[in-house]
Amino acid sequence: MIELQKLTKKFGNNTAVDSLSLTVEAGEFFTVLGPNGAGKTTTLKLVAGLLRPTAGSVSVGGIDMAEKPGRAKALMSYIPDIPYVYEKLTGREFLHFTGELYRLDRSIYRARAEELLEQFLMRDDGDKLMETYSHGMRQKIVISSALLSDPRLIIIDEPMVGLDPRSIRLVKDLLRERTRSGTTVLMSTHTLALAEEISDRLGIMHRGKLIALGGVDDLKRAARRSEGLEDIFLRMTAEA
Amino acid sequence: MTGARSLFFARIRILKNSVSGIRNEPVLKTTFIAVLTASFWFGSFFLFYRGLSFFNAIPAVGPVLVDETMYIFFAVLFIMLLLSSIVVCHATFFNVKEVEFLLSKPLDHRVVFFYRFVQSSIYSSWAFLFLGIPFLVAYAIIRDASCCFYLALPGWFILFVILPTATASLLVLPAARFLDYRRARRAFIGTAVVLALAAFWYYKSVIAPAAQEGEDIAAFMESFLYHLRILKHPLYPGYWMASSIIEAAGGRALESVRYFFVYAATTALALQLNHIEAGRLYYRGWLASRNRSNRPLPPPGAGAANSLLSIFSVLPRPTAALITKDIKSFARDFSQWSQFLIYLAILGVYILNLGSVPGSVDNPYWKMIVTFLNFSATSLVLAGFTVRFLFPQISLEGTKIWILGLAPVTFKELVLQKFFINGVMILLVSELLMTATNIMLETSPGLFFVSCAMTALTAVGLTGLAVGLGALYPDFREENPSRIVSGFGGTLNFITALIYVAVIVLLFSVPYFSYHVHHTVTAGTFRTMLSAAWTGSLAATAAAGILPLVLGYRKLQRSEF
Repeated sequence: MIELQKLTKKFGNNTAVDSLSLTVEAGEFFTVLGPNGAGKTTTLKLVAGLLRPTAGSVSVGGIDMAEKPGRAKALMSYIPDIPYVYEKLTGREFLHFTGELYRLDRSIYRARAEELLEQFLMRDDGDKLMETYSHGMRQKIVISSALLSDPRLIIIDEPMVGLDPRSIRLVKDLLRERTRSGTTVLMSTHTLALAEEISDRLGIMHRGKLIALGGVDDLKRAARRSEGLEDIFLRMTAEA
Repeated sequence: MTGARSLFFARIRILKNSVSGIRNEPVLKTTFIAVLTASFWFGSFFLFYRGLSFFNAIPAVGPVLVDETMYIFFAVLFIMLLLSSIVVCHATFFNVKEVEFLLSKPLDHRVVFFYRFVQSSIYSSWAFLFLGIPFLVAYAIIRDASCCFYLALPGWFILFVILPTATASLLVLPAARFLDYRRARRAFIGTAVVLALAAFWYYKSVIAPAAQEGEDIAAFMESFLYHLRILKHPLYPGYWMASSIIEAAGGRALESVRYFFVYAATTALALQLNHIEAGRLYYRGWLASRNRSNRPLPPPGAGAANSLLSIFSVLPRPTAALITKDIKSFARDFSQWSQFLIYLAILGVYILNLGSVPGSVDNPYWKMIVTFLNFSATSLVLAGFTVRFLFPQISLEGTKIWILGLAPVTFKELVLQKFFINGVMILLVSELLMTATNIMLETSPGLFFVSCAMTALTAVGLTGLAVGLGALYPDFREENPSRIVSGFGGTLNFITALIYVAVIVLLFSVPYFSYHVHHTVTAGTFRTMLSAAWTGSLAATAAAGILPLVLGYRKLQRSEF
């Protein structure tokens, strides 16, 4: 579903992503881990087409992002780390706006929006302006809008920040359910327990490079120690 | 006051870093902007100088008219600055995230207040600098003022802008503390309606009859200005500032200083009252502004507003969704629509004033002057409108670009959507205005058609310029439209819009004045000149309106978010 070939992104003299090659299969839940400034968000934005690579290529669903960005983007939804929204729209209006923007079938997206508002316990707040929402409420609306178009790829940056435990559980279940039906999830997070719990594979980034790749068990085997992901992560990013 | 020094130095550091950023800009770009700014200043100066010279040359009343212009200038400016300061103060005191950060620090609330106060003064008065300096310099030359006059200009400017902001904040602070958002909004609308009615009553009962008294323009103007004596009321601050400048230009230094000190003392008093009020009300007002009503709105599809917006459903769905989103966001944003109301008020006052110009003036020179002045004034108001409301639109999408950047909507479609929907609105308003004013002025059919066609061109040109430059020079990090406009791109838009309007006026006024007024060209030459004017104005509109649009969306396509 995602194929990155020697992907490099430089901001001036600073190399944020350094010759990154990676393949993520359809229906796979792939998590990118790494300390602050490792290049996780930049990688996600490159895959989403919100940044242009300095070198290398991004292909989504077999479509080259540089050549046909419109077609590639039509396959995906992106959930940013900071949920900037239209403050003067209500949550429900924002979901309808997204549905219209993607030209979704009206009866389907309206029913789906209600279902998501219900699931996230946002039905009563759906008609209030989003400027009055808490961070977590905004995040719920943003996640709902991403799920509305039934994308084949969900790119999600720090998904659980600000969410209450019930919503965290709900998001985890929704994402897992999606991957079972063939949707690919590319997630970046600092929450190692979350990554360990729901990912099929993990990639640890440090200073723009992918320094480890595989399932949690693979990483443990590679580390030849019976330690948790947190210890492996701290040791790898300290040694690298 | 604790923290004031730190805030001041932080602001200086930000300014220094911004200036360093300009140093990194390409030399060609910086030179281009410098030349453009200088052209604007000299162009404005030339126009003001010609206008004031014209008044000055009118026998008997000339010099008086020049001084009266100064009174009107400061009287109107004071009201405009006061109104814009009310809106700007409300936004900068209470609706900025930086305030939340500052109030979480161990700072005296009054320090935070005055820090924002200075910013409010700058935001609400930067345009005054652009127009005010060339006007006052032109006035000083005509009045043959001494060099001391020019040295004192910065002092007058700085002092003048503080009082409207101080008065506005004295109104905004208690309103934010004691009225909730909806009641404050109602109070604002109510006050605006009462003021509009009072102005209309004054016009109908005092000013309009004056128009009937004068048989020619000179007599009319004398009579008209007599009836505007309310603007010279000795208790009105605009009068003090105008008097100080007029007395200084006339070499009466003591009288000038007297008026200057009256204004300065009033400003000091207003600042002292602000100091007291801020200590008691600012923090509480800010807390009250957090308790915004979160009453549910009608769901999509329900309610009168949603039914009205359904007219856009004939358009492609993404376009209709973007338009609906823009309209709802605008209508729900107090700082946006209140400034929009101020623009409407300016247009209303303008039309009312135009109604008092005798339409039956036979002199073709006057007829032509009034017609072209009408077109220029309308276009200038529209230029200000497009800069203020259209330029920030692309920038305001910035933090939300993750939505549009991934949606199946291209940046070309986004820019064109902004251009067409705003263009249609601007075109309708400007044509309505031009038609109404032409009827009031009893313009000849030929000029009527030409002025309406010129208006259509400028509506397209100004809309394209504002939307295009907004895409070319976006500020994706800023969420306050007033601050977006006061940046580099907004200033460039303001200057190029004024130059564009001046070019259009010049292209058409030369053939019309040459043939109909001065009779220096034949009918054949007039037609050739007019054809050239049409060709030139079409080229100017393409350059001003279409080129920035194309460059703008190409820049967006290349941008990274």
